[in-house]
Amino acid sequence: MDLNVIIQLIVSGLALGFVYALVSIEYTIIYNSTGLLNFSHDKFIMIGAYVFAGQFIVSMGVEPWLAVIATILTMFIFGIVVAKGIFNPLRNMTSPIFAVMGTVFLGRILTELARLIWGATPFTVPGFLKGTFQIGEIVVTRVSLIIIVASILILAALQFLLKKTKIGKAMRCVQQNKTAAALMGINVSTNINLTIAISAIICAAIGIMVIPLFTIDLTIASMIGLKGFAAGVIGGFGYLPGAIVGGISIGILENLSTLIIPTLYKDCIAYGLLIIILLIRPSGLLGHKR
Amino acid sequence: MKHKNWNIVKRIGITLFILILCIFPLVDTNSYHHIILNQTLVNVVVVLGLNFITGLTGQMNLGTAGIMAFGAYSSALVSTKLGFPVLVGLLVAIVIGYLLGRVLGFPSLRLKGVYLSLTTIGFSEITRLIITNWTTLTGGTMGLQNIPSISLFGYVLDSSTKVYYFYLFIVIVLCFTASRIIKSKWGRVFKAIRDNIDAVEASGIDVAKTKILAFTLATILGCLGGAMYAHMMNYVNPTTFTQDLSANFLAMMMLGGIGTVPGNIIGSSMVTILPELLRFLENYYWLIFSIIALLFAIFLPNGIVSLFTGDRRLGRFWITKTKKGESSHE
Amino acid sequence: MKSKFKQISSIVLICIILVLTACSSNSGSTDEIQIGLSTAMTGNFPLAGERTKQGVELAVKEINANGGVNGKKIKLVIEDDQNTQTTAVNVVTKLVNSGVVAVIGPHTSGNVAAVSDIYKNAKIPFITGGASPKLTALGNPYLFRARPSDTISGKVAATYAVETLGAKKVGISFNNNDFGTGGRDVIKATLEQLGIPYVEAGHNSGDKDLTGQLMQLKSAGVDLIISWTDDAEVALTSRQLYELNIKVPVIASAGVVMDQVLNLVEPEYVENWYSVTDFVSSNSRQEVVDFVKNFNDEYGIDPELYASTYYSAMYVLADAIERASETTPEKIREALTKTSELSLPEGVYTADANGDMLHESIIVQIKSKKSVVLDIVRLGD
Repeated sequence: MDLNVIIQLIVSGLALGFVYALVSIEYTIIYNSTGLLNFSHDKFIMIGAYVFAGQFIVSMGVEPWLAVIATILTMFIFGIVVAKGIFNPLRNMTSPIFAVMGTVFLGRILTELARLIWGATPFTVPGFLKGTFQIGEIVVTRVSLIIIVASILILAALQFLLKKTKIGKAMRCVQQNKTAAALMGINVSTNINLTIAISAIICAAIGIMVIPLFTIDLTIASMIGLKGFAAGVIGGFGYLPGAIVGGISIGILENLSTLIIPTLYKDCIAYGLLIIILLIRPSGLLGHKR
Repeated sequence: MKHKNWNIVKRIGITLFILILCIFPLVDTNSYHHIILNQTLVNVVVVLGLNFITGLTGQMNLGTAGIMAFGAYSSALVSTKLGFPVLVGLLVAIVIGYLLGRVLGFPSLRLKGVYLSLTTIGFSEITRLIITNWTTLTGGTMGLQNIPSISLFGYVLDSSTKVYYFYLFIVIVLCFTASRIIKSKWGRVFKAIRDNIDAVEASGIDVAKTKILAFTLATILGCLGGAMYAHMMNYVNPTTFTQDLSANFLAMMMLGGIGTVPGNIIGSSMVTILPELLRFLENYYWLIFSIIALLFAIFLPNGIVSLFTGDRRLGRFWITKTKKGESSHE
Repeated sequence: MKSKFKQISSIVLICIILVLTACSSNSGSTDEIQIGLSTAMTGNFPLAGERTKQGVELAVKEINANGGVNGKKIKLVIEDDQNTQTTAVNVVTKLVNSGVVAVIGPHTSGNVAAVSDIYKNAKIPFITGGASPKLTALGNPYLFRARPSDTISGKVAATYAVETLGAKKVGISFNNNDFGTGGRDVIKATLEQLGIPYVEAGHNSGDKDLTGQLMQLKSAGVDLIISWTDDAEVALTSRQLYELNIKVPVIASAGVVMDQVLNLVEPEYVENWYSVTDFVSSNSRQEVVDFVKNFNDEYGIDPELYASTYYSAMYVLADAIERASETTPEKIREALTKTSELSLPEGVYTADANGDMLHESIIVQIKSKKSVVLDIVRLGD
């Protein structure tokens, strides 16, 4: 087999792998702090992309850098609102089924709202993060580099926030023991609202970065949403470094798999890996015990 | 005394309800209404199954679409490619359901909560990808066409009304069976696993066996429902069996009221019929339906039946944390 | 006592809703002809539904403004089929029970297969844009197709690739759905007939990365690629082909020439691409020019494939109703089978024994995002 082909597949898989990693981080932080799986997280990403591209760039003609900031602010507020209105009530119910239902229907509402507000026509932002670099025979797109760099920055910022700041320490307390955190004077609900808002911001970042890769439509994040779930488990559920390892392994392995199995079964890799890992090593590739 | 009266009222109510359902197609001959009712009946079968594993035993199963696909395709393939009578197909679907329950139940022994729900999602997605791409067997995305209708000893159920009566019969039998199981020792053990698994183990009950039993009940009914769906539509297509469908079944189970047969019936009817009733809202009907469902999830988590019975009858697990303290004195 | 009141009031409320909705299905008056439209307004394919609705509504508006058909106005009954099988079955059953004489839609071939028998049993004719060759095998006399079957488009594409563009080894990149596999089968059969080797690489609907597939074609050394896929995936194919430096001629299925797809790509991605299609708004035929103008006046955008297909379908129906001796589904079906040389924006409609009504394809080349018509191929039966 041609070595160049293999390298090319790895390079392309790496960028998507980082996207999966970000997705799994975005839902892991919500899970850690509330114990809820956010089944509407792919719709959060979709809303992020629509707010950025549909609202700020296309309708209002804002400069991209300003649009990024505006989107992040919007998504922060959006995160607080859904946290107060939906996640906090759902968190207080002891069965996860209600949370699944609540977030699934939240996702459907978001899809319909996006369709009614911005229309059903898929669109894109022309020229946004366009371009390629050529290294020998290998092609690297500018957007994949940006995705990789931005993902690393987001991860570093998140680690800093969680480990070094007071807010972050409070978040970790809430993750570990809500009653104890409340006794120590931490406002658990506010803390959770903040976590969900941060998750919404990461979703917005994902939404913005995948615009050059995917076309902006209502199902923009369905596939990365599901594979992001798989990525989180493969690396080690609830553990941030695990999410990165899981994401990147799925991205690269599913691309390499096309050399061996029919391309149509490529999507099975993520789910197959998920089931195998869960059965033989439920603590994930990194073997992190929570 | 009051208790006895209530029982009589209940029995009369159930009899009246069944009677109305029997007479309905004679009064209303619109086949659109009939197929909606048929779909509701099929959904009730699947939801009754899901109720055992997710509702009673508390194991998150998000792979209902995959289970249903197994049932639909196995029965459809047996009756189209192998040419067996449809009843054999239904039987095969049930056998497949039994085997599937054994296979899917196994991970549920090791995995809990989120892990299990993600595994079942993975199962469902892989199933969908395989039936989409194994074109020679399943017809791929063009689906399986000309699936024969059910025939009972030579009498072919070729109209929606005939199908309706047969399915109504199946559903009534299953509903009574299910409510017997819920009230039996099995049902109590299921609920105990959901509420306090350690206590169940301490009582010397085999948790593994019980979980697999609950899973098998779910997959058998899921596969039967899938087969009923296939023979009602006379056509199946992999694009039907998506994550959306699995979520819909959870919604049916939840909106009516988890853990009870009446809840399952009400929920299935609501999720199947309400969007059709809301069609007059045109562009907004799906939005409105989703909002109604979300409001139910937040404000009426114990489902519509809780309006009639009150929260407490559903067991403490489903009551919100704040209320848990109040109910503990029961 | 209070809770009893609550119970009773909620039951009463539910009953009222049920009765109201049951009554709301009004029967049409005699001076109107009811036509059903089943299309996807929500779900995973809402854009096609929106354009379909706009196209049909424009046609109905024009027909009614010109005095209707046989002096009767046309009334549209629109239902959302969400592009899913179950919902399509529901709405089609609803439509055939609501007193319509003919129905337009559903659109995708898979859903057409699902509802075919309902139309057959109700004896109501319907027109669809589903292009899969496998629909012919349904043998439904009530099925009519307003677009060329992919038997035609696929054959034209493969023949053009070999005979005009001189391809020696063809790569087929197809979507593994009803549309893509239907086209692929025809292309493969044609290439086999012509004795040209080919490599195929499929993807699923909704795939977001085709590097694996395209690298496979590249490694196999193909000198031309035929891409048979849906809107979002064709945009993805064009971007990745460009980025991966795979510089071979490409022939794409009909979707690529639509504005909504061209808006998704940079001009250089699709420069010099060929496409086998049935409608381009730059066509200079008088019917097309008029239609584009009217559509623009009404909605402020150029029409595309879906709008033109279903706009034309509505006119085909109107023409048949006019020729039918009476306005009953059966007579309309008979009139539809006799449709002949009806010139509409989408093409010239002539019904054949399979209910296929359009037998021509346009070969276009994309230059700076504009479609230049190279050739119009009409296939005799």
